[in-house]
Amino acid sequence: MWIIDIFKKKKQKNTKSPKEEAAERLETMLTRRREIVKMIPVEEFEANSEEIKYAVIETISRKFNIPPEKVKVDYHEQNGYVVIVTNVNFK
Amino acid sequence: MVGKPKVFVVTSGKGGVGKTTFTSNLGCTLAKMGERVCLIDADIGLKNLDVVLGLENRIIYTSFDVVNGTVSAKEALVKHKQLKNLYLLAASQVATKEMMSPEDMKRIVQELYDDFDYILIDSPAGIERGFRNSVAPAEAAFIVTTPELPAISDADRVIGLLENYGFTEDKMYIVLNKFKVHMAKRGDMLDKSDVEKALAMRLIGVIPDSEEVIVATNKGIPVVLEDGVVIGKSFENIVRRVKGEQIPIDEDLKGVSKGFISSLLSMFKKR
Repeated sequence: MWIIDIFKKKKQKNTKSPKEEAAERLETMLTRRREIVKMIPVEEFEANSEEIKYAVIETISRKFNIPPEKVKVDYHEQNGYVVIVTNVNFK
Repeated sequence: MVGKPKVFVVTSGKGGVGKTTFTSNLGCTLAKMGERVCLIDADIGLKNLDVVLGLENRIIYTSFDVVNGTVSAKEALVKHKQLKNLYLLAASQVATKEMMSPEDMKRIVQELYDDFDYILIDSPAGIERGFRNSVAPAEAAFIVTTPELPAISDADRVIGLLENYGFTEDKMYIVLNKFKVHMAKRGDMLDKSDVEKALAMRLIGVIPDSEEVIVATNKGIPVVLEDGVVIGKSFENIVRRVKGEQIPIDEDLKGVSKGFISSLLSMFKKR
C-alpha cells in the first residue's frame, strides 16, 4: 500500500498550487462582476449614443445567446452620468 | 472640505478582516507623529473600538447622544490614556444602525472637522445603512482586505460602491492585512501582486500577520504603542505614503521573515 501512497503524493505535486488556484478563481469571480460598474459622462454618451446603445445590445445578446431584437435599451441622466437600463426578453 | 483629505472611512465589506484594529493602530500612529486625531466608531450596536483602545470604562456619551441633542460632539469625546491628542467618539451598544442617518454622521464630522488633523471612521461590516453612514462624510477610504478570496471579492464590491459614491482611485487606499509571509513564499497563499492585480489598484500598505496584535488587543493597548513591534513600521509607512512619500511596499515586511538561527534564538529567549 505504501508504494501506492508514494505515487499518489507525486501525482498531487503536478496539480496547481493553492496560490495558482486561488488566483484563477479570483480572476473568474472579479472579471464577471467588474463589467457592471461603468460610468459614462453625459457628454461622451451624447456624442456616441447610438453606437453605445448598439454595443450594449450586441454584448448582451452575445452573453445570453439571444437575438439582438430581444434586448431593449433605455437611458436617463443622473448626477451628470448616464444610467443605462437594459431589458432582456428571454422567452 | 477641500485640499488634502482628512476624513477617512475604514471599510472592507467583509467582517473580521481587522478594520477596528487597523483604525485604532493607524490613529495611534498618527497621534504619535503629533497629529490631532479623532476616531469615530460607526459600528452602532456592535461597537468595539473603545475596547481595542482600552477606553470602554471611560465612555459616558456616544454618537447617539450627539444625534439626540443631549450633548455636542466635542462633549461626547473621550481622550486616550497615553496619547493626549487622540480622541474617540464611541458608538452606542443599545441603539441600532438605522437610528442614525448619513446626514447625522455628516453633521457630527462637520462639528469636529476644524479641531482635528485626521478623523478616522470605523465602518461596520456589510454594505447597508452602517456602511452608508460611515461613507457619507468621508473624503477618502481605506479598504482593508486579507489575502483570502471572500475578503478580496468583498473589497472589490466595496470599491465599486465607493466609485459610485464619487470616490476616485487616488482617494481609495487598499490595505492588505494579516499577510503571512511564509505562506506566500511557499505559494500556499495569494501574494501582494495577486491582490493588486485582482483589484486593479496599488496597495498603500501590507500589515504582516502577528500574534502580538491578539495579545495587545486583549490588553486594550493598540500594538503600535508597544515597544519594538515590527508591525509598527507598516503603520508608519502607510501614514507616510498617504502623505505623499514614495516608500517601496516591501519595506512593510522588513524584519518579519526570520531566519532559522534567529527563530531558534528567540525560542530560547522566551524560555
